[in-house]
Amino acid sequence: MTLWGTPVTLDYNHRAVSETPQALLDPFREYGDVVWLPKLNRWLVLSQPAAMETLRNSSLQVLKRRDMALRLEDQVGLNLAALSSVLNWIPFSHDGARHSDLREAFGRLLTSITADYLKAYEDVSSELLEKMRVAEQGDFATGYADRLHLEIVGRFIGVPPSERQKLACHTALDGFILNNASVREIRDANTQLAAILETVHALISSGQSSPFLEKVGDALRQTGLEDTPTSRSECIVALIVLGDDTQAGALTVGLASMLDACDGALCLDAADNGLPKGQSLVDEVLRIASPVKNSARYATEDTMICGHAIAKGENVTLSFQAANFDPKAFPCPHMLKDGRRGHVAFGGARHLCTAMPLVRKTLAITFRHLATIGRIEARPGRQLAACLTVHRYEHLPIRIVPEP
Amino acid sequence: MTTIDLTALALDRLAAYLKRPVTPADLDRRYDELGVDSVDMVSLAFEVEEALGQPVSPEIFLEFESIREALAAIASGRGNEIG
Repeated sequence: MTLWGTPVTLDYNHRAVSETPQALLDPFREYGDVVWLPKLNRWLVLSQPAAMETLRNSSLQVLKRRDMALRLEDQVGLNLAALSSVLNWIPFSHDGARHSDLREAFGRLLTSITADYLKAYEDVSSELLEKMRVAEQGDFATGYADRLHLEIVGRFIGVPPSERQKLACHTALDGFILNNASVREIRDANTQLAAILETVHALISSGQSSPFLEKVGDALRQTGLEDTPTSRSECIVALIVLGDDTQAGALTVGLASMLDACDGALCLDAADNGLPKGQSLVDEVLRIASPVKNSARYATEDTMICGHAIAKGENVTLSFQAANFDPKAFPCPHMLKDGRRGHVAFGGARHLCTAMPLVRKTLAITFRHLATIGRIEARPGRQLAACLTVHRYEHLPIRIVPEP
Repeated sequence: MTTIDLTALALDRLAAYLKRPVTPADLDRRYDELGVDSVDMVSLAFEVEEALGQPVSPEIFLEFESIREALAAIASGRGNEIG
């Protein structure tokens, strides 16, 4: 396979790219916006315009991950019931009618809970940051970013505080998404999801009601989906899975990138800190974080991306990390700069993340809170999660120095 | 487990996945020619892992052009180096 007369001879290794994405992705750009990876037998989408074309192209469909899980179950004789039942509620695992239903249901749900979610976010964010401020240090990943979404959903559905961490699904995400995972990882993901489903289902079946549970039921019924304890449980677990790692990724990679931009000492309330302000900062952090690293598609018919012919049946990997660091779309892409537009951190077109408005508001809250606690300094021990799906730090130690 | 044992295992399992007879010559074909996809590779890695009693990453199959080459690498102890 050649592109523009030049053979693509570079090797693409998922795990290596996952660890140091930009250094390993940049050499591929010399071959074009879209390159063919012979060993992986798939196309790699690198540029921002090609990413937008891919997202808008209805001939390029998402992988049917639930069908994949069911096939795997059949081939190796495993019980993956929890995994396939939650995958049935993940919008980016579907196209067509099911996808439309899920978009509508999650859209209705998120609209109805936004005010309550933001209020709870303000409270939980303040509580968690106050603990770090008093201690003058902490791990921003484990002490804050990992906990926000679980605390909020846990409060909404009535999970006791001591048990909210049981809702965490960090270690399972690659297995859950079936992203180059081994059967062992997939089996572990299923076990973890089964436990979370059981916790949520037990609460719902106990007859305990809450405004949040009623809103879940309303969203399901108004969309024309079945409203039962099981469907509510699966929908809520999908909400947990969808928000948990991605929010942690945006927050941890976001703070790390701001610290790096300020030579390791950040005063978010300082007018002269060199960072973009307001919504520009939120969007730049999201662009650089690219919490979801990539997304897979396959061609349902012969089609084109940026002039490249994609044959029916061929696979396409859209690298959000590459597109959001496209130097033609975002000059000096490693820098946080004002006035940039067009990042694809939330996907796009029919698979644009339904939670985008909510996520942008929550990041703005976090930045506002961080601006009030003092100077934030980086400490040694920063560690990226070994996750192929989501870009996040699993440890991000910081020091908080009170401002005079 | 030797390469020959792994070959017999792969022939048996691939025939089940693809729902057609699979010959030793098929193991030298490219994956797309053979008609296997990522789910088949994940399943086969698991079956080999169970047979060997040691971790085998599905990504080992991406390192080689054919199943026979990947099985040889696994038999020589490279199965869990990736990932």
